Amino acid sequence: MSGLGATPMLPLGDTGIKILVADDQRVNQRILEVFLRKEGHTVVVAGNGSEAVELHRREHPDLVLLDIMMPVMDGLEAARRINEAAGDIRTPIIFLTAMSDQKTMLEGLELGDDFISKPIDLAILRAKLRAFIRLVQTQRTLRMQQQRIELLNDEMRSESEVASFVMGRVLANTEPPDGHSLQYRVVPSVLFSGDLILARRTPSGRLHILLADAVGHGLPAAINILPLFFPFDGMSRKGLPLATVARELNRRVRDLLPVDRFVAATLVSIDFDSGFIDVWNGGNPPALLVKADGQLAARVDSMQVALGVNDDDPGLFEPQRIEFTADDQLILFSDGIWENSAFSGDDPASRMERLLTATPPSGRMDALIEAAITAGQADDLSTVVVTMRETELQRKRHGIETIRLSTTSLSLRLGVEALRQPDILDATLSMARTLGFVAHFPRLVSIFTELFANALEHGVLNLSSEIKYQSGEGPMKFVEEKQRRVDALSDGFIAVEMDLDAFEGKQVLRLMLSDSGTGFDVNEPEHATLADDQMTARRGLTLVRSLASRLSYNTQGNEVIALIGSDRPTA
Amino acid sequence: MQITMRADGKQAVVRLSGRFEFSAHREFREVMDTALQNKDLETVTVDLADVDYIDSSALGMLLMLREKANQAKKGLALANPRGIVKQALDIAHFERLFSIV
Repeated sequence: MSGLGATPMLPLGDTGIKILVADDQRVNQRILEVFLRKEGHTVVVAGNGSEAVELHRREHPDLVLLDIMMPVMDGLEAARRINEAAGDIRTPIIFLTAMSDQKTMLEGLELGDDFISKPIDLAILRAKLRAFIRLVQTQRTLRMQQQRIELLNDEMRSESEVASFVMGRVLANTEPPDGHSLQYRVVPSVLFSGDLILARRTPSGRLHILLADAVGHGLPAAINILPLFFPFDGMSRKGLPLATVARELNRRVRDLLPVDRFVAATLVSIDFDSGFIDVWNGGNPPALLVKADGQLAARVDSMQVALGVNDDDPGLFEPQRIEFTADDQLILFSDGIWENSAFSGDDPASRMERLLTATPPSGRMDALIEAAITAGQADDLSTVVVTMRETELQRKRHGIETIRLSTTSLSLRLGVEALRQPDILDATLSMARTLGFVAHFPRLVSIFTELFANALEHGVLNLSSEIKYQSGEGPMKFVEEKQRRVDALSDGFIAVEMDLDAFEGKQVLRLMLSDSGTGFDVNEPEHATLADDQMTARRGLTLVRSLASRLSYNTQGNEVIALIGSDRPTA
Repeated sequence: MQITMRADGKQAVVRLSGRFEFSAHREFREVMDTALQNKDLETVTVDLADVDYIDSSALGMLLMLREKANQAKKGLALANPRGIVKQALDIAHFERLFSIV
């Protein structure tokens, strides 16, 4: 920043100004020059109109005394050119004339500011100059202020260009997997925005999205947002969990920005494979999940204070998990939209839902923005819309009713439709896998497989296991009979619950299965008629007993609870 | 926005009315500094009953005030938020940072 020093400085003094005198008469030139110098002014002398124009251009006088009758170029023409060259702020012109015809007077007053008749009365000139000096000083101040404003404006514009460039980079798109789509739009309220949208894929294919809204708007807000870029980008590229990212962003804002500068943020991690969205919302309007028809399916409201205001406590950054199905849309927006008069009022969610249901999915993002602009934009507007397709897992999971799902627990009900799916066991296990249960409790797979088979075959389908263990055709017959009963199934369910629990001072996974069957006699001894070297009916249960930390049935025998430790199964 | 302060013994009530946004910055700070420097006062209540709009810079001013009040060891409360002001405080979860009465 150097600008102000380069402004041409006008000669200063309490009352002294720079005056251009143009007269073709040497005597007149001399009289005026001597008089004006004595009065404390700086004088520049021209001998005709053309010289006057040139000297005006070069010397920037504060006032011009212009004789009308001059050779080469007369005073009126010189005034016209001086005015043209001066631009917005005209140099005052006083004409000196012996003529007094009305036409010349009128033309002169249009081009200049006053007349003094010749021969010049120096007392009158002094009096008139006094008034013009005040005008000149006002103009001088005005001109300096204007230059200053132009300079600041230029600086602001160039800073803005730099910042817009940076923000444009920051907003670089990241493609979601095939079939899913990501749309986003930021409409700044001034040159550029204090809202920021970032998206980055993790190595495992999740999509991390950040929608941040800094206090205020314009350059200061944009500056406040920039510290979020690198940690978000780097940590997402490394595939770090959302809670870790959120906590780090909070720490950055806390450390870098003054206390009254915080950043409201929604952080999202979309797992396209398993159909989960983790959402952390600190100070932003709710994240909405809507169905293809625009109906609201889920919302995650602000759960914590904004980034920069939270304590550095890991518990504050745990996301909330929601589940999506095919064609659902996740919609995020800043408060510029939520608090816009297009939606604000008693129940913004339902006003927004009305707009969403009336708009086809692909047009919803623009519809939100347009509605806010139409109603009068007061703040930065930003939205993200992610449209999800059905995941592989969801296709498999068809018919599974999710009762409860969080990062630490799972509760499902498998009805007839689900139980008919050939890979239902796998689909259920894969849900446990996405929660990390399989990784933490490796014994879960064997235990669940056995207990699930029991619940389905002996509980829901009421198959006797005797047939299974008969030699020869037995196992084959069993499979056929099982399929026949599955096809004919009209009623029945298996409920599955998994939660984290503690047992004997250690963390365990509590697995509960219950089924619609009539149960079995829990206390019945091993089947007596079968030889020891054959597969016994209870062999599966024996395996489960050896793997689980604890196993218990209800008395009816249609509900079982296994506590599963985190150690690996021993070979 | 208009700001008036009434001190009564150890308590002061600062009453805001109109739109609480960045333009109120200087006046808000002056009034609050006066209140916080007053040794007789123990608590300051910011009455938001007549505020009909609050923006994020105003939320920032409240955070700044909270920090200053802590340093000055004075109690601070926000009172009577309503409508869109209440909504903004709710979304920002200011109830975790301030006593709201």
